[in-house]
Amino acid sequence: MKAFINSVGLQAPGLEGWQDSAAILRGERPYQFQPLSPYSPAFLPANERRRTTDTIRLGLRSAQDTLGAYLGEMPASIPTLFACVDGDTEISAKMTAAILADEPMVSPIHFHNSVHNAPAGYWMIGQKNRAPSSSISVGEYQLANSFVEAITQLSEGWEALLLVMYDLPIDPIIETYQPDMHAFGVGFLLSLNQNEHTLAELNLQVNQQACPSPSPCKWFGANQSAQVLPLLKGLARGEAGEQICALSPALSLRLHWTPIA
Amino acid sequence: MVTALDITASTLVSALGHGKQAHLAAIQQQRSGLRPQVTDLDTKLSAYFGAVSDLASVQLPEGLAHFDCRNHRLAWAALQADAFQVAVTNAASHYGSHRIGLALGTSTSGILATEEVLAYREAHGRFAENYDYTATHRMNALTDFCASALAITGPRLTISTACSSSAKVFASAARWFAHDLVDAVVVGGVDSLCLTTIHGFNALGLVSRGITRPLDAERDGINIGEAGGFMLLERAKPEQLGVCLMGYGESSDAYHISSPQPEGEGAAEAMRQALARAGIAPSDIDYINLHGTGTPSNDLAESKAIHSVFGEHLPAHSSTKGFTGHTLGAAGITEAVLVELALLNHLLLPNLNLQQVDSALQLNPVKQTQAQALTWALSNSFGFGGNNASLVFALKEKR
Repeated sequence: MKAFINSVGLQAPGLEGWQDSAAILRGERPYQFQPLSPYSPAFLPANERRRTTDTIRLGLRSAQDTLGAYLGEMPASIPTLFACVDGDTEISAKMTAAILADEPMVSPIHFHNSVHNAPAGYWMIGQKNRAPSSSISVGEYQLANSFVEAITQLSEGWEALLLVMYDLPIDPIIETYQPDMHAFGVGFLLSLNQNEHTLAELNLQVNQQACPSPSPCKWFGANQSAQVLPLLKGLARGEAGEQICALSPALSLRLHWTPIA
Repeated sequence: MVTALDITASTLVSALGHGKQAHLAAIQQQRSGLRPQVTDLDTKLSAYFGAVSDLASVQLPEGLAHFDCRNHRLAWAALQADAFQVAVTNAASHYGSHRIGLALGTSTSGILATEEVLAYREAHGRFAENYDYTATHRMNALTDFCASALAITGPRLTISTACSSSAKVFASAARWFAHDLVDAVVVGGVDSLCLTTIHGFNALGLVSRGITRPLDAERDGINIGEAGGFMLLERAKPEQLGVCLMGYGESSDAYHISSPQPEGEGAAEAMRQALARAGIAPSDIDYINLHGTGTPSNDLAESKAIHSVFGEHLPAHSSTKGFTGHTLGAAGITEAVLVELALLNHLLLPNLNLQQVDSALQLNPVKQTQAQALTWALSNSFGFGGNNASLVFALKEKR
């Protein structure tokens, strides 16, 4: 399985924007935690913009940073794949608390924003994009399965595909489970053919070999999306490299990238 | 055109009962599973539900006990019905467990476990000790549970695109086959009753005051149901008789987060893609299982989509939500299994609870279970976020 990476988006505390983060990823500047700046998805109508949550905004800003310079010259319809392990736990917490009342009053806006595909839905609405969109969750196997789903779908014959992976700390109401992590959102614009924007060629290879669970990432803790940092560092440095990630308890996926000058 | 995929095993548990035989009997008797109460869950809402009655007595095996929640009990019940787990075990020993993929849909996973533990905390001032968020509520929990229960280790994912979730799993499975990542895939979906969904839909004004009446002039919303279903897909072999997945289509409305595009353009696109992948014309379709939720806007938009794809000569069509209720993230697999039963038994599935078909829809749904030779069927599933999926199935018979 092979694809070309034409654009990258990055939205994480201390790594806000792919262009602005490249020097940190190359190791030329030290990483420093800095909360993400406020963001509002200007491409949505005002009434829908107001309804967005932290989860929706992280998905949307990651998608927007990925397409950034491209918006306008992209085909109107490209498939999108949004991957997030936990989904919108802030809204889950509000709804599961609301239903404790004898006569529960769940906010209709919370409810329709609670679907795992709300960020993808808002993105497609904002872009007037009628191509397929999917929203997945694969826990510790998310990075590998997201790339497999993205590139196998791209091979159906689409010109390009947008892959967005984003995870953020879960709502404190689920207080028995609080993984130590910071928010992290990343996006890739992938295509089957090389073009003038291409940054790198990406090859995927499935191996019948278990891959040990990755240790938490130094900057973003147990954030599954942040497991992609080795690839991002390689792209920022313009160096070929590879990363092995778990596809299942028995399979691993080798991501190998080669920069295209 | 996609590689045709044989359905070599399948199973379904819904309000109609456990296993395909119970579903076939309900179809033949035109017996709805919808009831004005749920015996084992205080829904705090007076409405009809499509509940699975005996989940309280389902016990997970010891090694899987930490996954225990209503959603996984329903999943387990479905894996046991129709000897489905045995079929997967056989496939795994034949192909190798790492060659069996797992693609499952759910909209809310095991969120009921969090609802219950918050109620427990209100009563006892602390969380119940056995509460395990990652093994129950988290969105990938269903896939983790089923992968463990079936001991399969191929590629996997949970798709959660609201009510199209367990239709889109067929597309992911077909893509894995196309890249030779698998020799078999377990596709399916499970969604179980929970108060967030019941009261969320109620807040949107989409829950019917009575029994759901899809396509009726007086329709006023959905009945929420629960279901778990699975299919085992393998590369089509000429000698294997039965039902095949022949095509899939996916699209977005890009219109509104919870209302369908009024002209059904996204829905029509999903159907056209599915027909194109199957390599057939609209006139080849013998039966359409509609999404047909019973809300005024969904049924109207879908009728426009159907007319735009099929023109004046519509194939036989019906919504089966009057049997099962709207099983949400499990609707795709529920209706895929019902379509499989329709094709295998040459039966048109009736649209229950019709008094007068809404004339604005210009549809003529199947009203009685009836025998008819069937070869090709289409099934629609559309969800919030404007997320559409259509599937094309075909019957292979001895000639």
